[in-house]
Amino acid sequence: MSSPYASQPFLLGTALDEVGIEAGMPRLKSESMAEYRRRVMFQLRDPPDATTDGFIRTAGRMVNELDKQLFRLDLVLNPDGSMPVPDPRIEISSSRFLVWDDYDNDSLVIELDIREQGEDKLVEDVLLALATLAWLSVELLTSDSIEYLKSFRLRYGSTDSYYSGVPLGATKMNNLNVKYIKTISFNAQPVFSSVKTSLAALGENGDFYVDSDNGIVYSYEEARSFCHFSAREFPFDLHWQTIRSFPLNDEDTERLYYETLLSDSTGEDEYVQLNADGAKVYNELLKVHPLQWGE
Amino acid sequence: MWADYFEQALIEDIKLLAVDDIMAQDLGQGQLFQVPLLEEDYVVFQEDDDGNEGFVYPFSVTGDIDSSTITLTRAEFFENFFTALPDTLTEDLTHAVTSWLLWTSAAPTTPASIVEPDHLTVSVQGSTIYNISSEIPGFHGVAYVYLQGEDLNGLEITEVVTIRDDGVFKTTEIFSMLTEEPIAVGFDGTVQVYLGSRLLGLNRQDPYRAAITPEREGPALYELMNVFGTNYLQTAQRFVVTGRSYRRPTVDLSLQDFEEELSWQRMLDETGIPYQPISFDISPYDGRMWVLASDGGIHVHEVGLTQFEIPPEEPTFEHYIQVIPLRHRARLGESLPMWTWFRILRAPIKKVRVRRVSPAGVTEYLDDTDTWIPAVFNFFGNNLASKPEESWTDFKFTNDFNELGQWNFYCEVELQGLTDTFISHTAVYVESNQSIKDIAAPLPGAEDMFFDKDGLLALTLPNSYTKYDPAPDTYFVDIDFQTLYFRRPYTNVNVTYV
Repeated sequence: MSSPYASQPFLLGTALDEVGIEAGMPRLKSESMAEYRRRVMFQLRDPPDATTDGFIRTAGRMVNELDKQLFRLDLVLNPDGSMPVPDPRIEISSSRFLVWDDYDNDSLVIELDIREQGEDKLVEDVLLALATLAWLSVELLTSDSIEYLKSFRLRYGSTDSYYSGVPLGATKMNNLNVKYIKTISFNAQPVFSSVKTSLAALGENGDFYVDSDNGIVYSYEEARSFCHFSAREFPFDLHWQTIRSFPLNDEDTERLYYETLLSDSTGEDEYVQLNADGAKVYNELLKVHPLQWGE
Repeated sequence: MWADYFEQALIEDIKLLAVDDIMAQDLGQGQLFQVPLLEEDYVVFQEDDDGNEGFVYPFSVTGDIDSSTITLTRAEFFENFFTALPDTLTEDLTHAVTSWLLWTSAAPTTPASIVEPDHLTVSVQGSTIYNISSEIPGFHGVAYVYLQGEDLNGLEITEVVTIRDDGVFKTTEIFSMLTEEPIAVGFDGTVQVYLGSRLLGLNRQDPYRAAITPEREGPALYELMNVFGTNYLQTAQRFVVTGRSYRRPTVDLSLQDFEEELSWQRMLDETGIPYQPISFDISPYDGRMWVLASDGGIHVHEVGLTQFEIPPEEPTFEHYIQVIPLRHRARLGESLPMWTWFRILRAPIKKVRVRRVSPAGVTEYLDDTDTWIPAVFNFFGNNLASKPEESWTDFKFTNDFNELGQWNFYCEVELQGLTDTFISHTAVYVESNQSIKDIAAPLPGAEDMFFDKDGLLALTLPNSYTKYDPAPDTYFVDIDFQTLYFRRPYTNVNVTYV
């Protein structure tokens, strides 16, 4: 007798495997059918694309490390339904968690160091900081414990969103179905030549008014055009990733890959000296992009 | 060009269908667990001293799960391996539930949060009207409930649940959140949205079988019917019907006009002892019915009506009077009316005896006071009649079906001018359904059960539910590869030979 043995997973083909392979996603050996279905559904409904955001969202899926939805951040609107602060914005960079209440005027209200050894290295630190903002609500979306989760693993991104070529119907009121519009431009310039600050101010051809908070475009004439706009994406979900990625040209990567030296000209610390992590990353980069050197 | 376009469209269609498939509850048996045997544990072909030969299988195989050692049963064939039933249920997870009801149109408000993503149950009850297309501007005639929410990955999803008629519907999608209040269009009934496949006290349609009788076929419906404090499993057949066809002020029909009750089964455990069923669901793995008893025990049943047995006494080839019951399937304790029917008017009737044989084999005769007696009793025809139809008047009688099993009724007829006795036979079955597997109560006090999105068995308490893995502790030996296969992962697998 050679016992005891330990059983090992053994995969039997099912119809779900055919779907998964069609989606370029074979089942992993230790993966349960329920986990696989969830992963395949994710891939089919939210497929990866050739964008930075597409890569950041989907990199972990191939190895069954799905993003964990942690919190939903939303604006606590004024009683009249307007935004509580002039220009709210949240950004999770490669190494910092940032919140502005007036981004246009650079009014930064939260700045957290979320590096592995940073002062705010736990998700709970982020949560505590967010709790100080009365204009932002925080809803917990996971039933799992968030204790000891590193804030460095929060998904890179921001509340900025951009829409291009959105059609406007042949009416004088168009709902964009996106709230909190920030900037907007139109193809039909004659119809949208004179912006007004209220609906009542529309009085002649070319006048238009944008209800930014509700994402509604009013025009004096029938619109029949296309528009392009940026918006603030609220509610904004914070995701936690096992496999975290961010663009190397993010300005905050200097906090990860450089040491500071005192500048002769300014007398302040500046990130100029490549550290061990940075050297490793840039060496990897130079292996595949040697022509980048010196440019 | 067109071929490319067509191919692309076809691929997209297939993908959509595939997406639909993976929403289904049955995830299949895609993951097994294996142990390749070392040579000293090989299953070998041997011949004993008496010349008997065959493979020598392990005397016992045990495995550990959560530090408890379980003895595994060998499945002789692969199909047994996949359809075997568990002796015990292993607890998976428990979830606290604040409210099973997520939203109701009777008191519309923001939908309650969902503690664990799952299919949702949409119940529509009490509609008095189903609109036709011309009654509401923009309405195309198909009633629906529109749900908006997020799937288990947090992606926005919507689902249109088509409502053909009042009833209970399960969403195809798995929802982790309802982000907007549901919208109901085309009917005026009350809509309730529940977490999970919670169908307490409501009838449900068999997703895997139809009810087929010689007359017609249609969806098979199951419901636990309380008759004088005892729950019976009622099987009914519903003809295809829409709310529009009868839930209208101008139509004088009710749902009962579209249903035919087929049987009422007394539920018995594996040893044949009756128990009180309080909830059930159909297993997505093998279509068997899992029933929750009032004591918390689980009983697994094969669904279906009992096959009639060949009567112990054969009827004659020719017979002229038959016994007609109101139904051929009766509930235990039910009193059913029956009639004689002088069907073929060949000759005047001389004598008629109506005899019954109970399932226990007791023979009795019907007398003229509608009583069953041990002694032979004859009903006489009119001797003076010259025509058959003037010699006999059919009558109604009753029988109390107080015993489970097949009741056989014989009608013995003697005709004037003939010496033969002609015997007809009719049977009525008092239905029961005996469990093929009893599982000890995993959660005492459980009030409802359902199979969740992953095929796990969920047992519910008023404010929580617990999931159990229904996989059995069984193993299969692949002789060619000298490998043991299991349905569940075990550590410390011990293989022992005598």
